[in-house]
Parts: sequence; C-alpha cells; structure tokens
Amino acid sequence: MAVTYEPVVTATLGSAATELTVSNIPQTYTDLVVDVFVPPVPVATNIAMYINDNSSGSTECGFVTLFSNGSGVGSQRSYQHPYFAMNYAATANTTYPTAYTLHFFQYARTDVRKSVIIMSSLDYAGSGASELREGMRNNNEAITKLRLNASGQNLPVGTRVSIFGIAKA
Amino acid sequence: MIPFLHGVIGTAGAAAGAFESIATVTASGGETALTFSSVPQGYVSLQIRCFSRETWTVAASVQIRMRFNGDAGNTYSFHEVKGNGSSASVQGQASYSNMYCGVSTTANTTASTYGASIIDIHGYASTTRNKTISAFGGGDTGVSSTEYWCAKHTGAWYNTSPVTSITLLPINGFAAGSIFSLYGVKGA
Repeated sequence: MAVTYEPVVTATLGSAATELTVSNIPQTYTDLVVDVFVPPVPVATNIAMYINDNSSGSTECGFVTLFSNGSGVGSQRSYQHPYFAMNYAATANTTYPTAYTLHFFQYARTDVRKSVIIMSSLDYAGSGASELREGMRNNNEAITKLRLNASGQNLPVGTRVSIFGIAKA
Repeated sequence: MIPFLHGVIGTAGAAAGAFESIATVTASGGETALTFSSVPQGYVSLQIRCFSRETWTVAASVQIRMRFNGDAGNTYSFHEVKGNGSSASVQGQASYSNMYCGVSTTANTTASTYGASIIDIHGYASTTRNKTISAFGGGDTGVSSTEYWCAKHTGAWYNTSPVTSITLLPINGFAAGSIFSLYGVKGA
C-alpha cells in the first residue's frame, strides 16, 4: 500500500505578527491536514483561518460548531465570513496554549465547494472548551494559501502551522 | 447491484510508514450501498475519509450508516451528539442494524456541496474483541438554517470476527461524486 500523510511544510513565527501565512501549497494531494499550535497570546482573542486571498469583505465561509465548556454542551452557527473561526466558546488564552487541527477535503479541486473539519482544544485548567466544527467555503477555488489570523491582535512567537498532505487511496 | 471495490495492493519494497492508502470508491450516483471488500488485515486501525452527498430530498443533512462483513442483523449500537447551530441534541441506539458514522449533505443543498466526515475503526483485525468506531462529520453549507448540522458518533459491532468488508449506506442513495477513501494505520 502507498504510504501517505506526508509533511508538506511547517511555518513558525520567529517574532510576533498579526498573521502567519503559508503560500504555494502543493496541489498534488487529496486532503490537507493542518496542525496549528498557538502559545499563550498577549491579549485574549479569536483565532481564524483565512483561505487564499479572501479579503475582509468576503462572505464565503460558514460553519457549524458543537462545543462543550465543562458545564454544558451547545451548538453555534456562523456564516458569511471571509474566514473559518477556530474558537467560539472560549478565546485563545493569555496563560495556556491552544491547539487546532483542520482537515480540508478535496482542497485542490476546482469543481466543488471546499469542506473542512476543525477540532479545537481550548482547555485552561478548569475553564475553556472543546470544540468540533464543520464548515464550507462557498467557492470552488483550489486552496493554495492559508492565513492564520488573531483578529487584529498579534500571534505570539512560536505560533506554528504544520501542513500534511494525504494522497488519494 | 452493490459495487465492490477491492483493496489496492501496493508494490513490494514500499517505504515503511504509519498511514497507508488502501482504496477509494467514488459513487456514480444513486448507489444504495458502497463496499470496501477484502480489507487487508495488517493494520492496527482503519480510517475512512468521506466527502459525501445523498440523493435524498427530505432534509439537508443526513447521517452515513455503516455495517461490517455484510452483517445486517441487530448487532450494532451507536451514540450521537449533534449540533444544528442552535442547540445540541443526543441519541443512542442499541441492538441496531447499523452504526451512524458521519454526515452527508443532500440534494436539498447547493450543487457541488458535500459533507465531510472522518471515521476511525479501532482494532478492526482483532479476533477476540468487539469492534469500536468513532466519527465526526458535518454538512454545513454556509446559510442560516438548523437543517445543516454536524455530529460526533461512536459505535460498536458486537462481533469478535475481524472486519474484512465495510459497507457504507445512505438513507436514500449516494449522489454522484461522493468519495470514500480507506486508509490503514500501522502500529508502532
């Protein structure tokens, strides 16, 4: 059987920045798995992933979330955004790191909308949340660029995006 | 007729790795079942990555169902926690004829829009244990409606036989272009 799940690229911030961008994503896989690590942030904020050159005016992304915050379970929907949100029931934290895994399906095709599954780990020793999210970008563009953003705040040094490619079975 | 897809045999001397591709099946449209047959037994667990849509016109999202080894008896159980963007709901079934595992969009949604799901099948090759699955999927299409939802599933097949075939079932029919890819995860 063919070995797959290949490392594509890892990008790490050496200094704080408002965005971490990975460009020129190879188009040779079927799915992408994106692991994101965000150290404690200077200001509690929301983390989001922009696709390609989606501007702030884009309304292409929507997502539905299932979350638990330790005291209850709930669901939330948001739509007409230029990004996929990666947290809802808790923001990125000033004391604890957060971790996310995004699965983009059929990302290189130009004949289907782009579907994504996002798993968010936002545990803060007694607070925070666990979230599962499924979203769709209402655009058939292949994904060639990913832009991690902290909603106007700085992503800290050590913020890391690792991309893996899964080939067709 | 249920289309079968036999596992693709890799060439000898392939590099060792933990995650290996096994087979992909793509719906041509209308299939009431899709099966991976002759599943190789050399892995610790399996993963199915689903990009799926149904021909159903009653709702906008629907669960994918699964059976092992052609067993259509009431030998399965599952639990579901589902979120529709407004509230979370739960269900559980015992002595059921299949397991819910993932979500498809339907013909009620925008064209070229497919649900995304990941199904993990743990210890599938065991001859001493019942089989356990875990899955997450969703069928959001970016509109404000509780008809589109995501769900986390766990399930079990109460049979200690190794899993040699996996059948995925729609509620109505899989739409053309639905893709199911099977991967094997090797042990350390």
